[in-house]
Amino acid sequence: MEGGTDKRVIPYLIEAHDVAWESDGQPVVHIDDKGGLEQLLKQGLLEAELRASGLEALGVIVDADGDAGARWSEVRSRCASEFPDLPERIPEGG
Amino acid sequence: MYSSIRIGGYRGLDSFELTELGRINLLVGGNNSGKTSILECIELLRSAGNPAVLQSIIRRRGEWGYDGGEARRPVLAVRHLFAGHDFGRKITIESDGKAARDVWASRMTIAMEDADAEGQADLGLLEEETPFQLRLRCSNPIADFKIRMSPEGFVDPRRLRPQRFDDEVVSFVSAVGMSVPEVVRTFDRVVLTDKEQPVTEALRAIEPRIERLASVSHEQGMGGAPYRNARGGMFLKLRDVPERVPIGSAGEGMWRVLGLALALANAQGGVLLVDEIDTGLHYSVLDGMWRMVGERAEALSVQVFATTHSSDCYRSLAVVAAPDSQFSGDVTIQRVDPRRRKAARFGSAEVVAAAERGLEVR
Repeated sequence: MEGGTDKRVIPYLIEAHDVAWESDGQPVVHIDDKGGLEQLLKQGLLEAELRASGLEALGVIVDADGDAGARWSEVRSRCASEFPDLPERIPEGG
Repeated sequence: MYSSIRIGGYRGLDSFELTELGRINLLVGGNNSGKTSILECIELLRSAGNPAVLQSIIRRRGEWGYDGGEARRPVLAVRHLFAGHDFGRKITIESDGKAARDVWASRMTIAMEDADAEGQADLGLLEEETPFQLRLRCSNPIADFKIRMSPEGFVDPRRLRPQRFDDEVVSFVSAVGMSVPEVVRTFDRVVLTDKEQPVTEALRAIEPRIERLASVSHEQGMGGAPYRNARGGMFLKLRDVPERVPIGSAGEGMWRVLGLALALANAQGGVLLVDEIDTGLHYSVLDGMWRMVGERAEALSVQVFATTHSSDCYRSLAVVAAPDSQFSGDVTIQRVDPRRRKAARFGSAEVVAAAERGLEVR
């Protein structure tokens, strides 16, 4: 994720969707604060995260209060080598 | 340089591909994932299926034994090269090069087939004559070797004689390192040439006080000489130490780095293959080891393929991958998983990001 405060949202989001936040005393996801958009979109970072071994799912959270379309397109291009068929624009239905 | 390599039917690799290769390529993956098999395929391809290379691959793996005859002649078990340990399928190794139409674009096949007339002419070494031959064919450079074999997949090692190719430039350093005779022989080729100084400098990555390296012939201990020097009579001169010091006194890491530096010098314009490159090296010298390998590989136009199990080893590779390093950063990590058809590839930027973030790439 882009910033530290976003961290707190995740457990609430997860529990709101009826998923237990903890399993065997451990959170079900690992949350990593990348310290800003520039760091998160740094060349190689998302590509490396996507190819790390043992990865089952990767979520990316960025602020959408600016140009959401531009954020989408930046994240999309970082993921293009692993997921070449991601839609060009954010689908309206999510 | 190779830009991609495709392997079919070799040992545990049913169909596997490495893409967008760099100057230095580090193969990671679990035990028995096929990392060493990939090194072997590159060695076979770069040497155009040279039977001597095939023999050393089989011997390194210990895939040999004795025939049933009274003379107890050694036989090599070639069937283990084939997927599923049987000859049902042909082995294919293909490559693309960075530049078009150079030696790096090639294709070779290894298959068992019925012996032809040429094979018949070379009978008589195995106890029982058989109608089968192992055939190694390479498209670039063109080569075609036919080797008589038994139906059980055994080959008489005397049939695997070395063949010379002008551009056969490939060095393999196994997990146990270079043998003593190999080190002495390669050092003899390097000493008093412009390649000697870089070898000495490479050793300074381990011991900065090294001034000179020399091979002392009467202490080589080979061929039954009275002095049994286990390290081929290799000695070091250290700054502020009046006596010369046997290289073995400087520890296993010194021997490993010497082997790497010599193998690089030996592979000029070709390929260096290193199995478990960090063997014997403390994590604190790995940065220095990669800088040495990166610098020499570029200077001598060598493409490097190495394997490791160690996270320290792949993280320290970032010292030659970082854009602000003195190297071109032409580095990849390739994760080998035979259940997939293609290696997961980490380019230079991803290698740096994975090191910074402590990501697990293995």
